[in-house]
Amino acid sequence: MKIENKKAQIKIQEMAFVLVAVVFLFALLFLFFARFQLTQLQKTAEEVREQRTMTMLKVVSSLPELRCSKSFGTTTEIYCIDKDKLKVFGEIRHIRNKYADIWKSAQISEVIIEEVYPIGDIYIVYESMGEPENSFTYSTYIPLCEETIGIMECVVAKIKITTRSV
Amino acid sequence: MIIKKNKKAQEEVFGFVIIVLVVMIIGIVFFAFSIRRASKGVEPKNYELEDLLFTIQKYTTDCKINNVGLNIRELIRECNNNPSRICEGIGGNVCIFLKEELEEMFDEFLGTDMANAMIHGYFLNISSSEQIVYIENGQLEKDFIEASQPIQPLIIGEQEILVILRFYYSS
Repeated sequence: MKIENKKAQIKIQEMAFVLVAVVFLFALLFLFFARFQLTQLQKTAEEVREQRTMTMLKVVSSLPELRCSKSFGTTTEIYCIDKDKLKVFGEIRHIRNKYADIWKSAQISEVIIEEVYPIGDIYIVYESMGEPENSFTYSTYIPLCEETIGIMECVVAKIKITTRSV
Repeated sequence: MIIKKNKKAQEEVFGFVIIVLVVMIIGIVFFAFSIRRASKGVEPKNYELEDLLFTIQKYTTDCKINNVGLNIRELIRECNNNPSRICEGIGGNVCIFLKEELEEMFDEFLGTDMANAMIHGYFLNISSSEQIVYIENGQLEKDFIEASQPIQPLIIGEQEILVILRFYYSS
């Protein structure tokens, strides 16, 4: 009888260990799956943010207050930023502030246009107060052009938009 | 009989230990995959390259013809149509000037020492029926993004000019 009880106890202990191992295995599988799903979610969030910022980059470069106008002697709009308009935009604060609501509603904390070739001035189109947490900066290139005596002279500029995280 | 029973019990325990070890190894492998570090740096984007290629072509150079400064696009067309043309004012052949200007531009954007940078190599190929300009720098291997844009030649009916820009980067 005693031997039988011991045998039964050993069997129960064995069962307990096997159950622990199985639970541990399933816990590991679940952790791995959760990690995978989290990575996928982060990728999707990144893609959404990128799409949104690409749209904003195009919107900024297409603003009538900044873009090159028809006065450059062609019959079609030219995809570029007018340097003179940009200077006015950058220097006069109350003009900049009028557009603050647009940038804020789009979660944008900073819009900067920088001359990169040749290296030149940096123009601040918009800058919010304080350093936002979890911000991302997207940029693209755009011609920055100036009309002089009926001739258009352009340099290579970079437009940078900093957005807060989604 | 007792010895046989003990041996059987030992075999069972041994088998159990092996199962536990296999589960632990699988778990460690899963963990190793799941905690792999994300890549550092921002990968270059395709739209950025397209815009860069467009913007470069709009850059106004010091090379003048008929007292008007040509942009890169106009310089490419001039080099394709009339390769022996000389730039007014600064002198020098238009094609050589174009190549030097583009090399200087990319050195400014990407730096001259690219070995360990995120973008570790590039090439720019401008060609029509013949090659007009080709510049490259760094290691042209691993992942890349590419942008290409056509340019209409000065003479209608001629083969169009194709500009291809490719950046090689490490992810």
